Amino acid sequence: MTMTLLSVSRTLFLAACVAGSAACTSLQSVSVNSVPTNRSRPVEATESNTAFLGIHFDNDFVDDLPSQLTAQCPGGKVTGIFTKHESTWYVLVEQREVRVSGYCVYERPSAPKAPVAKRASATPLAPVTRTESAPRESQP
Amino acid sequence: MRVLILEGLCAALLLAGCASLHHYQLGDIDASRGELKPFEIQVDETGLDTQEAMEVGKAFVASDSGKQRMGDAQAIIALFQFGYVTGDPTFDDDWADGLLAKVLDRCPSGRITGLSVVRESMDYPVVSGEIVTLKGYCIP
Repeated sequence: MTMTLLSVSRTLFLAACVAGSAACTSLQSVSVNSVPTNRSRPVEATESNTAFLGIHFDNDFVDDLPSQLTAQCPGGKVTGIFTKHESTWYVLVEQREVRVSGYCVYERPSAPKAPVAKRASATPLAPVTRTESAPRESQP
Repeated sequence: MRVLILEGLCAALLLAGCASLHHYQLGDIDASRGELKPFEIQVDETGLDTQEAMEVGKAFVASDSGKQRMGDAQAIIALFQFGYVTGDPTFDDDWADGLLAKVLDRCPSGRITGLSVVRESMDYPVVSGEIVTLKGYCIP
């Protein structure tokens, strides 16, 4: 009898673990721009943000994505950008993720080959700062 | 003392708000045309969570018939608001319409690249801040 109970509880525990690790994913939004004919230099960047009970205090985690893409395409044009925003629940924790991918295009054929990396540390473009923002406008 | 600390924590959590990211979109980034000047534009409007407002209203109504009427009103309002939405309803439907004009104000040359759009909400009790943020780079 005790063995049966133990086996049932173990099975339930394993089922809960599987259900918890499988998580629940929602696709929030997708967008894509015009895709170039030259797709030999793909670039990609991903940012995510995790919070207990899904209580997030800001959405600043997406701010570095343009810089990450341009760092992989110095002096070139990043086009054909596919943007995907999704969220995943792991029991009590929510993870939001925004993934952008595109293609680096150089107008001149002799342009240097851009390095392809998921994350880039160098940022050739100046980050957008709050100090240069226009004042918020509320309408009555 | 403990009650005061708990009240302070609750107040801090309520005032801090909860951020929701509804949509993120990134346009082509052209870094081949020299120095880029970053800019940011943000517009917002106050949203009202009508269901939450009704629940608060019910708490202040003493009679059962009053609560019943509030429930009926809540159901009628819900019928007019079903369907896909981002954030809470606002009293003005064109609060984000002037974004393009504002972009041209910030970038008179009209040559814009790396335009990212963030649609987000800051949720507070009953009300919310409905926000659209544009960030991009101006090619001088």
